[in-house]
Amino acid sequence: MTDLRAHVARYLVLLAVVAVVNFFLPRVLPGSPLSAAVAGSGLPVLPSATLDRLREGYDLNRPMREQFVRYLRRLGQGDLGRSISTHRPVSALIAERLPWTVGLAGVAIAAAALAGLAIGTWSAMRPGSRTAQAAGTLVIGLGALPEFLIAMGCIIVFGVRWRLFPTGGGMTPFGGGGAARWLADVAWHAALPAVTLVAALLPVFVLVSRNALAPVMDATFLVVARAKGLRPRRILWHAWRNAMSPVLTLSGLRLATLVTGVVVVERIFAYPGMGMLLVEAVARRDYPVIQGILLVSSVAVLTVVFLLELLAYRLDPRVREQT
Amino acid sequence: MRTTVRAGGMVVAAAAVLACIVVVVLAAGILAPGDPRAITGLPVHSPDAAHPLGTNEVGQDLLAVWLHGGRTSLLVGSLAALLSTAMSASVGMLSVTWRPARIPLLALTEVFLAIPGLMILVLILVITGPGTGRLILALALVGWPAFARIIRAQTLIAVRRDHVQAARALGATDVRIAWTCLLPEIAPLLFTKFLLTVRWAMLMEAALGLMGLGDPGRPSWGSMLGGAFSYPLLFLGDAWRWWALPPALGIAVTTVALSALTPGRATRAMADTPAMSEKREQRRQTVRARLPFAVRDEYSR
Repeated sequence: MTDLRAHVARYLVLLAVVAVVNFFLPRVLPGSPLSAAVAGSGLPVLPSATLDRLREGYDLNRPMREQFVRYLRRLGQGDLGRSISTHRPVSALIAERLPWTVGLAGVAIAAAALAGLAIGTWSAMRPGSRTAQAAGTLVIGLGALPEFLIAMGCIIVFGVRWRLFPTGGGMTPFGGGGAARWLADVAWHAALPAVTLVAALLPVFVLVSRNALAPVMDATFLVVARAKGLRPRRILWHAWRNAMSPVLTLSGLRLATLVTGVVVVERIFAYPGMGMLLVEAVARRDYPVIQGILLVSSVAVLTVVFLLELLAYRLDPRVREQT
Repeated sequence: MRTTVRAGGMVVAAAAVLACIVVVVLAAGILAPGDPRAITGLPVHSPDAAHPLGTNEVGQDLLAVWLHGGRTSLLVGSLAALLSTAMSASVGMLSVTWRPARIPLLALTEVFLAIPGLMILVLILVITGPGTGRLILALALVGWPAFARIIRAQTLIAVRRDHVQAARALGATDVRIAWTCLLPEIAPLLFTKFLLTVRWAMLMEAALGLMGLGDPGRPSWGSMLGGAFSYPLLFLGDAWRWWALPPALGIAVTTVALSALTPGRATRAMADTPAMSEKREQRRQTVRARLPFAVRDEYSR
């Protein structure tokens, strides 16, 4: 129980620290957010009245301590500030884009986890087999390739040569039609980015599930299970319980780091998710949006890691014995 | 040991490929003399005798941009890796040997691991403005924490060894102990960390280049990719063949070769020898970091 309490305390402290770092990082770096805003506006200089209004709008004319208090108060109300380029609340922008990324990456992570578990099991059941080793080498080779190369391959083969899938965007503009048609259109557009993500994620899942399964494949409890005459499917189920914890952990971490994990893929496919929001914000030097994404993605990482530790504690008796 | 011998062929091949890339890229000044940013032809022109890889959207020779860009990318990767390896080693060792620094350093590591590295990089580059020197420093700043934990775990084991105790009893200073007793113990880990981080830094450079945060004054493979993907007609014609493919292949070949060179990663992960699982078990015990972060440590940085 004390362990749990320490856990919660650590999580809360880290959350607070991230909020503080998010406030101070742009303020301790050389260069000013305002000059970044000027660079993003496309004008050589902004009129001084505009600069004054910007300064006032972002509290930059107040003493640092007052800025910090106001920042914390707004954060408490869920207010992440306003975008410089669109003047819309950052939280609304994020809420608009998050479902796209969660949908795309969620499907890709689930597919990669299931396929990885299947391939990992297949190779763990064949220790010393040449085919399994060759498959392993192939998977590692795939894992070493950068995402943008896989993405380019997908675009060229499926998008340009065979013209099967669109190579950019999230849906057909002015598509019309009912909900079913809309859903099919969205899935059609998500196909290539999803395939790229699965190809990039698969190797780690294969390795992790194989490495979790291989050591237990000849463990005593499986020998007993086999001797009892259990069907292979039941035996596999016993073995899988050992691989559950690492595979779930990995899926959770990929889900947590998804905002930054999908930037390259979303950029290449112009997919309207969080990664693309970040790319657009960077292009316009829209630093309130960048800071909002930083805060949201850090909180996501912390929360998922916190929940995963709790889950591992509940799922895996070995973790409980250690502590 | 057997796996090391068996992996020999692959390691030699990877080293040879890497050496070729380094030589070609270092010879950029001879192969493509002059400023790679000079406008020497028509914009978006197909390859011809004067421009073997064609030209980009402003009419710069893409072969020159690729050669000089490779130099920048390799420089960024290796310098950032060198700096962040040094930081990992110092933080990891100091957090064991210098008692008052223990808690601040551990807290700092934890905080850096909590914020996604790419976000810190983006924020730094947006506010200070893109630049090669700043990029190297920012990458070094983001790249150290995961391995600092592993170094710390290894150092914790090393300080308990008899020869370290003996050295201390003989009156050796902390600095001397760190230099002569601890550093040799963690040196193989540092080599692995260096190779992994060169790979990571080059991929990050590419991601930042794709986001338009490449150094405008100095072409790199990342900014070349970024330029190519900003061209809306990239895949409508043949432009991708000489504009996007060369930098993508440059980064891919270099990073794959680096993976193949990295000890204990690619070659051993799937090996079936019992010695390997023993070693993995040892590593699992030495890396005492909490499970989720430990998984992240191994695969992302």
